Amino acid sequence: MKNRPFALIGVNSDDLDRAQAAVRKNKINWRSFQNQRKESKTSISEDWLLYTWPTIVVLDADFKVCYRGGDCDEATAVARRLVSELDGKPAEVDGQ
Amino acid sequence: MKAKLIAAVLLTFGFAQVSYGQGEASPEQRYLDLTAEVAGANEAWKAHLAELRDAEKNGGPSIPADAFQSPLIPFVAKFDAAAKDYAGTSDAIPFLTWMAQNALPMVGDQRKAAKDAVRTLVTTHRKSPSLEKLEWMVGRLDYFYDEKEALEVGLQLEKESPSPKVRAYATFSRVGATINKAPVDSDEFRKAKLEILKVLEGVQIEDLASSVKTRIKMRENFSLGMSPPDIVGVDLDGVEFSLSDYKGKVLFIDFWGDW
Repeated sequence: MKNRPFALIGVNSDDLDRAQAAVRKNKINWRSFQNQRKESKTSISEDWLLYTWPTIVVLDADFKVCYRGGDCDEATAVARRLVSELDGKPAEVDGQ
Repeated sequence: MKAKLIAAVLLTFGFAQVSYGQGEASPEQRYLDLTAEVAGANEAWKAHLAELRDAEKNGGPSIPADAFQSPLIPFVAKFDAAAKDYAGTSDAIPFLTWMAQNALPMVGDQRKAAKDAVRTLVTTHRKSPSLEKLEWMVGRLDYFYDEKEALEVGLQLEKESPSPKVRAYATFSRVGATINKAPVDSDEFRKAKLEILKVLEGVQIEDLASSVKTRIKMRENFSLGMSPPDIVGVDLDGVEFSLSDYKGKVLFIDFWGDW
């Protein structure tokens, strides 16, 4: 999905040390929020009414929900279709 | 001789009290006696289960499945009989309420009796404040009636119950399905939302209020086609950013952890 209108954003629920170690160990190259926010009484997952982990949410370019659930394959298919509709290129143009 | 006669009369009277013939024990006493019997049976059941568990741990036989059966099952018929003895009067209410609260999770005749008890409570006894004890049952009349009847019974409760809590549950029973299913941008949804939130403002039913508000928020923000709130926070390096920075792109948001 490189050079296409797409972004993968994580929301990580671990404590910071563990999250950073996981990023190094698994060579994770996407940006993640820390779920617990120091400046807020509620976590991101609470604000997003999310009770099961892992969960994936796919938003289209207008910030509207197109998928919410735990099926990575289904979420990926939805995201690929949306990206393709947005830039007019085939869904798997870059082979990913 | 006279003393023996008095003793015989007392014994006969005493026996009659225990057997609850018509007009002898008060309904209150009968309820207390029955609930005391239930408590005793419950304690005996727990003790028996503990013995079986100990035996199993010490290499004895596995606990038979029927040992887990609720000790309350035989009591449903007794509460039901009492409710029938006082049918149509407020004396039946505690017995019916016990059945509603205890026998609904059971199966077969016991569950049927519990459902009948709820139906009797919300119709014959709809003006009783005791209906507050039914809680979610009044909020889910569709579990006890078909759609049309549930609506009629609920409207009657909304109109006639003296309890704001019962009325709030009845309102939820009427509008809950709309909150759950109607399109979020429809007038039907907006009207149901305003109605239930207004009713809940005036009563202290935290579980219901919290579940309704969560459901509304979920539908308004996270249903397909809806816009969720922005996320503003810090990344794992402590640098602040927001999800809306990426607006215009397709976003794949992965709630993850190192498990």
